[in-house]
Order: sequence, then structure tokens, then C-alpha cells
Amino acid sequence: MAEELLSIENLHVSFSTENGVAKVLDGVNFSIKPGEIVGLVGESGCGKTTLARSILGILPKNSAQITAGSIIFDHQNILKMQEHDIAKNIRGRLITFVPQDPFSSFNPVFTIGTQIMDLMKWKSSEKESHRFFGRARKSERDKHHQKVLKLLQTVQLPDVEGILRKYPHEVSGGQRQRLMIAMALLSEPKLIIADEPTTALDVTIQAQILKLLRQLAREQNVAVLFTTHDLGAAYEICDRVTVMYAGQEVESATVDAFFGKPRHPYTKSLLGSLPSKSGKLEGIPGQIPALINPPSGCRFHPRCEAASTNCAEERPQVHWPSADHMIRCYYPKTYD
Amino acid sequence: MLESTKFIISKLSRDRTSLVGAFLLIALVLIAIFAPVLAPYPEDVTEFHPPERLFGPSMLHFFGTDRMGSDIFSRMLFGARITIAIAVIAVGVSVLVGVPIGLIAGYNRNWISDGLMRISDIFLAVPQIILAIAIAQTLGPSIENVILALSATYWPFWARLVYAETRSALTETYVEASIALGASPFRVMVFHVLPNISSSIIVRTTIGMGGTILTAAALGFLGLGPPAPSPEWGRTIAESREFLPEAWWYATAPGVAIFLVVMGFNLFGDGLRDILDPRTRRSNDG
Amino acid sequence: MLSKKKDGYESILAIEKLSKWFPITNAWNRKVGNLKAIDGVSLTVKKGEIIGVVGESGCGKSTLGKTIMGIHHPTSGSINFEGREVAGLSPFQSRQLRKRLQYTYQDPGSSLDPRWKIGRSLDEPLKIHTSLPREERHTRVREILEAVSLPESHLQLYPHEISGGQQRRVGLARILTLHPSLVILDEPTSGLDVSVQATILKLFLDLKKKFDLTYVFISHDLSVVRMMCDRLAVMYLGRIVEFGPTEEVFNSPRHPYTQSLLSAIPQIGGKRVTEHFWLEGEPPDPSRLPSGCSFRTRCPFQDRACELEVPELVNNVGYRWDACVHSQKNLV
Repeated sequence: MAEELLSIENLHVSFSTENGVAKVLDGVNFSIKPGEIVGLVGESGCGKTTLARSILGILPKNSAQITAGSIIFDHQNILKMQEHDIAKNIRGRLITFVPQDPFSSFNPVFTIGTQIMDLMKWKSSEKESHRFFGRARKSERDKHHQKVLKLLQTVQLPDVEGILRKYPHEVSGGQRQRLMIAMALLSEPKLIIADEPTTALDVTIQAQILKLLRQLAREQNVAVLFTTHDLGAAYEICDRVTVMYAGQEVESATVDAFFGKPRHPYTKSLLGSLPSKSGKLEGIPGQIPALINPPSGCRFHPRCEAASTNCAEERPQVHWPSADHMIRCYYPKTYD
Repeated sequence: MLESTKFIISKLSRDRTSLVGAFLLIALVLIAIFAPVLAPYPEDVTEFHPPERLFGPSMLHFFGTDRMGSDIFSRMLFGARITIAIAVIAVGVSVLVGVPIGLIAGYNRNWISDGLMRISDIFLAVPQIILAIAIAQTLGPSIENVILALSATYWPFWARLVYAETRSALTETYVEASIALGASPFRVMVFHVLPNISSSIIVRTTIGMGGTILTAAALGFLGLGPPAPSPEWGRTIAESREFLPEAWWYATAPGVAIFLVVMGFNLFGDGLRDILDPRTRRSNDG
Repeated sequence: MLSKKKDGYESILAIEKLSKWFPITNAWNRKVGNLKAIDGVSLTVKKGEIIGVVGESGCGKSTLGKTIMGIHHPTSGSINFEGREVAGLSPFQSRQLRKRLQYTYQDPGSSLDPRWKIGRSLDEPLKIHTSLPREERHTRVREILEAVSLPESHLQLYPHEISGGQQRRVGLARILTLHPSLVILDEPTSGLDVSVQATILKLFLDLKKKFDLTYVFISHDLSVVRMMCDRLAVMYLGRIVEFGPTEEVFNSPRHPYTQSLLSAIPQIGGKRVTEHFWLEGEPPDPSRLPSGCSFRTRCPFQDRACELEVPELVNNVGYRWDACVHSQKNLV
């Protein structure tokens, strides 16, 4: 579909570990339209972080291998691009990243102002002007300074001038995350990858950050890939949600359809095990499989109530029971 | 414990430099044990033959003869015994004294720990060799006094090290959990803290032996070690001074011996440290 | 034996004006102030109930748990456990008492000695507190393993060889060997996948029945607390701001902070929280608390009265307690 900003097809990624080769992503399909906020949810080991990192091309070089598939961003297959091309034009420019732990993304010995100005110099969308030993002209620096101040105001940081003079350890977690969002928006990207951005934050701060992120994404028409294991956070902010299990994507739908009418047995069980007012406690029996020798076919079949013999033989193909609702299952729940 | 020893040995055997070190150390131990058998002239440790003095290296005398006509090669082999004895006993005693002191100081937060650490600081403020010289000089030249001098100046190092490691280990959650369960300070120190800092101690012991041997050789060189006719390596170098540079073999033999032994301890210790020290683990991507 | 009787239940734990202050030192090791991690906290726990302590980071809930346990020495205040005063005693000193008061760690993996086999870690409490011979200890350990649904083979494994959920079970098993009566659970579901979380919570309830336990459930996860706890204490910057039966607190929170906290929880299937969320700004620096009510810097109802005094936790309505001058006048 030509209108998609990002289209991942049949992506296979494996990691070599001491105990063998782990097939971390098993033929994953995934897409985001321009300006869309898509949630990628799943439990530990599902592959959401690996997927996010594959898009940015920052998988660990020694152990990770992309064995098949394509990642098409803005009509270009990233996997076929040269590394320096990706680093210069894509990473940090058209696709930016908001990490889970904002603290370790900052260099502790430089002020925040220094680091953002640096980013401004190299990654802003304006054309590069003359650099004197790597230092831009004063007029350009002033322009950057103003732009940074405005950006910090957009993310609702108090005392913007003061914050630039502070060191990373002097600001709170919520403020650091706002800074990361500001830095992600700085280059006017088309896609922001937010990897568990609110997991480490308190729930009241999380509410503020989610509100902010959604608002800014809408205003600037930026697509957001939001990975999380917190389904509530995904509900708050996403237009569409895709759920993964043990390296396979199993269902993808608009947020209301996903939470209101889940079709895949795993999605249903997952939503069912959330603590609810009714007080019923339903876990999913069994354990998330190790990825070195995962179950064959659909990896959820050993724990699935609806599973049958063909589930172990071959993984279900992509199926669209209704427009905008994708599922990979032989025995999904149906709604009339 | 047994499993970890096997693990260590298998890891070590893949590292070439530590293998070299291990080989040198094993050679040292074997030489020390079998010196009487390996030496062509075992009697030369005590006897002397003036007519044969200062012969150069030859098939009869691999490293030549010294000023008393004794075979240097044989004397070197017996010198290995002295070297090992000094190293092992001195380091051993200082560890046995310093580690408990460090543990006690680390666990307490009162005048006891402050006092112990200040005493250690006083010792550490003086360079080890100077203090050792002073002690050995006062007590007189002998192998026992060398060992005493070395132990007395080395134990504060262990106390300080163990103190720091104990303090750090006490902040670990599992130690806190044990204390919350009601474990006595003794139990916490001996069964939780000590095993977890032991790898640090072991590594430094190995490397420390190298340093101790050098210091012991220095003391011997200054005449503070075992007196004549001891074949101690440092003393031999001192003896050779007046005959240099003509009798080059006289100083070279003990010099090379010291060099190889210290290298052996250092290489082996380095290899051990690479294995035993906690490495950062890369997290699995999920 | 001192025991307050309320509605026929005994108060197994009674905390009165408990404070734990950590001194703040500057570069010259001089004391420049205090970090009041918990300040004047009072609480009673009835036997057999599950009492929740919730709050965000920096509210002091973890410090509260550790101070009750004796891991931290209280700066002031009293802790009355099963009728005896335990504040200020170290766990070693109060060993007999501590057998009955236990604590589970937020990160269960790090609470187990990485060099000890699990069997040895489970044996340790018995070795410390009882003089049972080896066979008997082994039987007890096996009983507990069964109670937490762990296979006997795990006794031979090291902590890093089992999963997070299993580590949590081991941590639980370890304290259960002593048959405690009160267990402080510190963030018992943190880091767990949703599907595993439900199983662990079920386990807590099973064990509570089997071993006749009382829980103090410390968590930042409000939806879990809502399901598990009978009564709830909400903390903010070291003080309890609201306290009462869980459902009532959730349905009609009285303190403005509780209101904002509850309104921040995403409700799947309901309205989006982020559209109406009103709490702005961040909690103030805990080492420099504002005078009077520490929430006043962010509170929409604040006025001059709030600056003057720290509001007391007052029993207003039924079994509800809150610490706000406005809610006490029913103005919130």
C-alpha cells in the first residue's frame, strides 16, 4: 500500500547466544501510516524492542543477524541502504528515538544545553551552513538557541533557560523524558520510535507525558511507534495496536477494536489477565518459551485453548476478517 | 565450588598468556621441589671450590660459576625454594591477618573500624620497602626476619581492600535480606560477604606474590636477607656487583630467574582476574 | 499483652508517629538537612487483612516497609507488633520477634545470594532460628516448596538459572519456612509480565489462607492494589494523606492527591485519562519540603490555610481518614 510510511515485511532476526541461535523475530509484518500512533505491545521476549531497533538499524552487530525480510521507510528499503547513509539521513533525522531510560541517554559530564545544541547543529532540518572547525557561525548559533527554547516550551518544561544550564542528574525523570521528546522532535522527523517511554515513570507523570506525546504527534503530524508492555498506556495514546508473542505478531487492529473485540486467543487471555474490578484472577498457564528452540508453527499453540494440530505445523498466514483488523490464527474468535 | 574450579580451568586454558604464566609457576614449584635431583652440583649450595671461580657458562656449568667457584645453575635452583617460601609465607600471613581485620572494620561503623583503618593507614603511608628495610635491619639478616618484615608491611593492604569490598558487599540486597532474616554478623561476614569477595582476594594474592618476590629480592640484595652462603637470588645479584661486567653470567642468571617468576605470577594473575571479576552481561533483546 | 481490639479483631501491627529521616551531608561531610523519607506515619493493621500502601516514587512506602522490618532504624515513633514494641531493635536483637514479621524484596533475584544454591538459601532461616536437625529442615523446605508450587529439582539450581517469577516464589518460600504472621510485600508484582502477575497474586491469596497470614502490600500499581487489598493508605512525600477501605477510597477519594492519582490510571474501555488529566508539575524536592501541606504546590484547592500547618490525618467519615483541611470541611 503506497500510503504507508513504514512497511515491514516478513522480517526474520536471529541472535547468536552462548546456548544457541535465538530466533527473535519470526517473519514479522508491521506497518505505520503517516501521522499514525501505533502501539506495539507484548510481554517479555515478544520481540518488540528488537523490532524497534531493527528499524533504526541499531541491533548489536556481533550477535544479531537480519536473515530475511524488508523494512520499507518512505519508499526506501532501509535494509539495503548503506550504513553511513542511514546514519546521516534516517537515524536521528527522519526517524528519531525516545528511549525507556532517559538518564543513560545523556552524557553526564555535559550540560543539557550543550547536548541539545550539538544535536541542533548536526541534525536540524535546515541546510548546513559553513562550519568553522565544527563551530557554526554566531548568528546561526543564536538561531538555534531560539529554536531550542521554543522546542522546550512546546514540551511544557518550566524555566527553559535554566534547564539548559543544568546537568542531566539535576533534573527529574519526567523532565528528562520531556527533553528526550523535545530532542526527538528537533529534526522534524516523520517517525518517532518511543521504546517504553513511560515504563519507568510514576503514573501521574505518565499521564502527563502521554498527553503531551499524543498532542505533539497530532500537531506536527508525526507518526509514533510506541512499544510497551503496559496495555493501559497503549489504550491511552494509540490509534492502532499490534500485539506480539514470542517473536511473532498475532493481531493488529484499531484501538477500540483491539480492546473491545479481540480475536486472537492470546490477546483475549492477555486482556483477561489484567487486574479488574471484578476481582477475578486469570493468568495464562505455562511459560513464555525460550527463543532458541521455540514451539513450531504458531508459537502460542502450547498454551492456547483453541489450538489444534495444524497450529503446530505451520504458522497461520495474515488474514483480514475486517478492514483494519489483521489476525494470524486458524481459530480466532468471531464477532457478528 | 568444584564446578567453578573446573569452569575456571577450562576458561584459563583458552587464554594463552595465562597459560604461559601457569607454566612458569608450575615450573617454579617443580624446580623447588626437585632441586636436589635437578641440580648437577647440589653440594655447591654450601661447598665452594676457589680454583673454579668465575668460570663462564659452559657445558659443565650452564650459568658459570660464582666468586666461590660454586655452580650458579645449581644454586639458582635451590634459590627457588627460598623464593617460594618467602612469597607464600609472607603473603599468606598478611592475608590471614589483614582479611579478618578488614572484615571487622567493614562491618562496624564505630571507633573500632576507624581505629583499625587509621592503623592501616599509618603503615601504608610508608613505602613498603623502606619499612621492610627498617624492620629487617633492626632484627638482623635472616629468612625469618625477611618474612616478618614483608608480612608486617603487607597486611594493611589486605585490610584496606577487604574493608572497601566489605562495605560495598554490605549494600547488596541479599546481604540485607540475610540480616532481615536474623542472621548474626558472624554468619553474614563469613558465609555471605567473604565468598563474594574471595575472587577479588585470590586475584590480588597471585599478583601480590610477584611484588613480594621483588621486594624480598631487594632486601636480599641489600644484605638484609638470608646471610651467606644462602643461594637467595637477590643476594647473588649483590655478590655479583664487584665482578661486573666481565662476569655477566653472575648477575644475569638470578636476574632472569626473578624476572621469569614475577612474570609468571603476573600473567597468571591477570588471566585469573579476567575470569573471576564480574563482567557486564549483555541483556537479551526482547 | 497490649492489643487494641477493634470490631473484634486484634491489631497485629500498630505504628504510631513513625519517622525515618536520612541526614543530608554536603561535600565537607557536614549535615545540611534531613531527607524526611517518612514523617509521622501512623497506621494499624488488623490480623488477617491485606492493607495496601500506595504512592509514587519518593513517597516513602518502601522506607516504611523497611523501617517496620528493622532494616532501617526509626528516627522516632513506635512500632508495636503483636503487642510488643519493636522499634529500634535490630533484626538480630529481636530475632524471636522477627521470626513472625517478614519482608519480601522488590527484586527477588538480588535478594538471593548468587553463589548459594537455592536449597541452601531456603535452609538458612531454619538454621538461624531453629535447632532442627538436617532431616527435619529438609522436610520443612520440601513442604514449603510444594506450597509455592516449585519442583524439588530447583533446590539444586542457582538463582540466575530460574525465571523472575520463580525467584519470587523462592523468596516467598524462604520467609514462609519460619511461619510468620505478618508479611510485608514490597512491590511484589513489579517487573512481572501481566500473565505471570495474575498467577503470583493468586499464590499470595492461597498462601494467606494456608498459613493464616496478614499482608502489608506496598505497590505503585493501583489496579493490583484495588483487587487485592481490604484497606488502603495513600502516601505522598513521606506522609499518609488518605486511608480507608479500598473500594470507598477508589469510588470517592477525599484528598486532592488521591483524586489526581486515581484519575491518572488508564481505564481500558473507558474514557481516556489523558484527555482530562489535570495534575501539573512534579513533586517538590523531598529534601526541601514546602511548609504546611506538602501537596499544596500542585493542589487546585490550596489556600493560605494550607501553608500554615501540616494537616493531621483525621478520621472524618466512618472508617475514612484523610489529611486535608478542605476535604475535612467537605469542600473537595
